[in-house]
Amino acid sequence: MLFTTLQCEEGCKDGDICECASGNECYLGCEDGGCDQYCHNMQRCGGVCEDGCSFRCHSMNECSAACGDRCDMQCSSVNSCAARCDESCRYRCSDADRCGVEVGPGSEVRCDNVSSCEVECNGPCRVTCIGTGRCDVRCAGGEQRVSCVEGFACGTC
Amino acid sequence: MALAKLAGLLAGLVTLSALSGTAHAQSTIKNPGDRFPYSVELEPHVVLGPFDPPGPGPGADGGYGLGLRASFELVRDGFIHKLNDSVALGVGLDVLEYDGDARGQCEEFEPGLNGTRICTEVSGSGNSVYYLLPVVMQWNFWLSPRWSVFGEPGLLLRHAHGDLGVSPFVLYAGGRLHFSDSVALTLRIGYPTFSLGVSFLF
Repeated sequence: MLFTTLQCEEGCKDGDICECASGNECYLGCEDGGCDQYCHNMQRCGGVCEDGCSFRCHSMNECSAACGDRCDMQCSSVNSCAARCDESCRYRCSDADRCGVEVGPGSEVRCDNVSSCEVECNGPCRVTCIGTGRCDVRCAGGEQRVSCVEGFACGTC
Repeated sequence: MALAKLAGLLAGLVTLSALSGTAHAQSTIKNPGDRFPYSVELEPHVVLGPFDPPGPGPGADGGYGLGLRASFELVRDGFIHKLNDSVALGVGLDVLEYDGDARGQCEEFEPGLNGTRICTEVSGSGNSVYYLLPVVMQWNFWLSPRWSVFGEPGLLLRHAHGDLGVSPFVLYAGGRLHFSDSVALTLRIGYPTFSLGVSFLF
């Protein structure tokens, strides 16, 4: 702890696990996509990646993820969770004060035990809200959202 | 690559140990002041960064570079009056290039939904050059005419990614193999760097 406030186990390249922990602020990049990014026990952290990445963060104030297609992201026990991704993403936000997520077509978002969850879908998507105070789902182009069991969808449930 | 260089450095240490020869027979550690008088030590060196670089930055594939340390003798008879010790102020500059591309600082935030913000660009991809400026207290122990050792607690100023930062605690330990009164081979290990250089005592 005296020596460094940040830890990163490996460089972040395709297939590697890259981790930020136990510091104030750290942001993770990824060379070509396909990275496994992990942030925890910090003040602020985030990941920027291309396609096919996974991203997890927990136990912090602010966490964000920006990703391309086919990303799998989780944010838990965080005050503010934010994410933006393209097609076929999965995002789970749990035990958070607020979540703001923009996803592309074919994506799934789940908010569990969140005070306020706001989602914008740029194409067909599915949003599940459980134990969530405010679940606001907007669809691209002014399309009306549809109500589903435990949530909403753009397109069909 | 850095690990290979580190292995070479350690091999150098072993070689130095083998060269110690009759050092034990010529011990000066209990003779305060029994050494070549000097006021400044200049030590150019090669430097390795086997650890994560201090502060936010890229991942730790290792760093390497060049540096210079200048140590100014402040106290000729050090903290232990019965020993041949001395205290100097050491300042240095090490320039290292670290391989790696993982961590960095957020270069650009964009507003997200629900009052959030999203980092969309991270610095630190590719290799990064670090400028490290240690400021240390060098506590020397003059063991024999051939050998001296030292410890160096202090702090470190660093410049990387366009930012200046401070690491409040760094620690080094090292030894010198004296070829003559004024020239020595100096090995230093510690955090965040290791170094091997030649000391010139003036």
